[in-house]
Amino acid sequence: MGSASSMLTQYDIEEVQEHCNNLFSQQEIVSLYQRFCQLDRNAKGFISADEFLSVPEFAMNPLSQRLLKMVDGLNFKDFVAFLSAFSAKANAQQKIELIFKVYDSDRNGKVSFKDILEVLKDLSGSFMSEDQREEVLSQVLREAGYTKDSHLTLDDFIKVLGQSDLKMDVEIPVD
Amino acid sequence: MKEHIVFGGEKIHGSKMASLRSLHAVWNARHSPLICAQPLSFSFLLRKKKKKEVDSIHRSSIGQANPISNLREKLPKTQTAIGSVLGILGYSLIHYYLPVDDLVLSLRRLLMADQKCILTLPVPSRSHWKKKSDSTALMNNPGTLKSSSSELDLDRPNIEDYLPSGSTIQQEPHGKLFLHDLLNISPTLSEAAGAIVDDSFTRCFKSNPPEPWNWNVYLFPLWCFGVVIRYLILFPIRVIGLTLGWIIFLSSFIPVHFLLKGHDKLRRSIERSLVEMMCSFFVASWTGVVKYHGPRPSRRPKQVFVANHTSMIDFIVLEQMTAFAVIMQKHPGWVGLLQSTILESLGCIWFNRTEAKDREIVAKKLRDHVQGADNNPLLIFPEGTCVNNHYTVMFKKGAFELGCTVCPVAIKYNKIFVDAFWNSRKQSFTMHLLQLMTSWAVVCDVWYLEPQNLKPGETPIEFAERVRDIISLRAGLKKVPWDGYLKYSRPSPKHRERKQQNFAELVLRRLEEK
Repeated sequence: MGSASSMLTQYDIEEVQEHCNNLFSQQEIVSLYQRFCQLDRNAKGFISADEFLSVPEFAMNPLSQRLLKMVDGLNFKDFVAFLSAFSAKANAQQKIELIFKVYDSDRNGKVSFKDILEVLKDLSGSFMSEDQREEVLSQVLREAGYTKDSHLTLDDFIKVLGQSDLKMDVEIPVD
Repeated sequence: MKEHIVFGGEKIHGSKMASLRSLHAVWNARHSPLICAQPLSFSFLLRKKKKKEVDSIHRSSIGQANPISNLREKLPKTQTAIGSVLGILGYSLIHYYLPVDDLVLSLRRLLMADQKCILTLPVPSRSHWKKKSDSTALMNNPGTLKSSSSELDLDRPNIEDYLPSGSTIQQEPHGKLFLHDLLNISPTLSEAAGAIVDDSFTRCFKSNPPEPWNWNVYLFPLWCFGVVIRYLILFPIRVIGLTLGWIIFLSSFIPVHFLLKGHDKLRRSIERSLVEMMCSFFVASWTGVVKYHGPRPSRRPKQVFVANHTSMIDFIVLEQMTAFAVIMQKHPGWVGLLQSTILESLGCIWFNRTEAKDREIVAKKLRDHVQGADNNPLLIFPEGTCVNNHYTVMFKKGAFELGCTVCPVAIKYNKIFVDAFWNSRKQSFTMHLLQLMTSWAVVCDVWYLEPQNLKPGETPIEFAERVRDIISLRAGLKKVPWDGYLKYSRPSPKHRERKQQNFAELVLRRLEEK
């Protein structure tokens, strides 16, 4: 019938599974592939920014622009790899790595004061002033033993976020 | 607009609505005992079986200049009681249009007297505000309040009411703000990932192909045999039938239309039956097996029919029984030609989605149309777009503010042979018709449901939602909060702003806490 699921062979699925460290079951991958094809409207092999934004729930998200930079133009394998951090099977470290990547927009492996400020700006919009954001951030940084000039590394993130509970499990609908 | 209120030494400018909001925010920041309540804590109190108590207080509070001064004496000094006073106060403010200043004054007194009390100030839902602002504007100074809340803002049901809980109404974390709280963006990220993986909006417009049943050695020849019959025998017969229908229709419609110019009544009734006949030919061309339930629609003024929308064939299916005048988007091609010639004579109304001016013209035409006694009954698909018959998207309120009786019609297709959903992005209407004509049959149920009227105190939006409930229930459809027009545009930044506001308020509040 040429439907989406029949185009993935067992080998394909296993390959994708390996690529995402076996964090998704085969059924979940099939279902993600259907979703991928649905969003990729003209079957170009990737999902464009515009197609992501056609999902209103995604477009409404305060971090959508930032996330778009990460997911724009991903092929299916990388798309699954990106989502794998949201699998219930992913461990805290994998989840924190993703969070770190969201903050580290210039991908230099360090998160500066300014990087965090920018995320805060996305999250609070016009409801906090620039001064307020800086004040809040420098206060919490100081209390956690960092200064305004310190650059946070992934290890810092793991140390800091390790103590809070991350609610990052997204269930893949399998029908 | 220029009024301001003073609370705790802070001046707050703006409209009444805004000042109550900022009052709330000021409170949040300054008085930790204040707990932000869920919307309508009043109904929450009622659920706690304190209905009688609350009722009596409530009754006594109406019509007094400063209700709370008397209330205090009547109440036992418990926290819930004071909470309920404020609940009532907020409630009265919403329903009985008490000025905000009174509220502030009373609350300040209360606060001074009872420092430790837990206060609950209900955050009114937006539909309530509409009621209030409408009536206050009518009562005293018309026009002042309307400007504070844009029409568009109130045009739709609250999306947050539908979204999975946890998106906005999380149990708010308390206590001091730490770095890990600030860095933890996991809830927002999971929401985004959840939307990427699955979302209720795209589900509405997903064509669901019928389950294939031919994957079987024994059945496969049978299926092939079926294909041969459908494409080589059924389809040509149907095309011939349809052509025959067109010939009969046109050869009688054109003379009637031009010769009977003087006899309007006669001409109209003949045209009506001709269109009904033509639609029957269409239905026959896909072997439509349609079951109609409930009384047939009658022709009378001040009523409007609303139905859920799956495909343009909805219209044909309904038109076969009764000649409706329908509101439709202007289509290109042969459909457009039909629209501007034949359907025009039924009193159908066209609009162009992209023309903003059309809105007003259509609204006026609608109002004129429903007044006429002999006009064909009006049929509106308030969803404004085709949905795949598993969901209903938001109803546009236009049909519900005409002041007419609304007669809901529910249509449910059985997908046993073919999916009747017209995915206008993927296929043209001609292709869609061909798909239907090469299938075995189109099976569907139509229910004419009980007519509904606007209840006193109900806004058109609430009314639209109620009718949507009725239709969804009957046809077994799931409701989603989305505006179907989001197919063509992006959601307004308002929803994102609300999330940002929540976040900002939470951070600022927790920063103060030690």
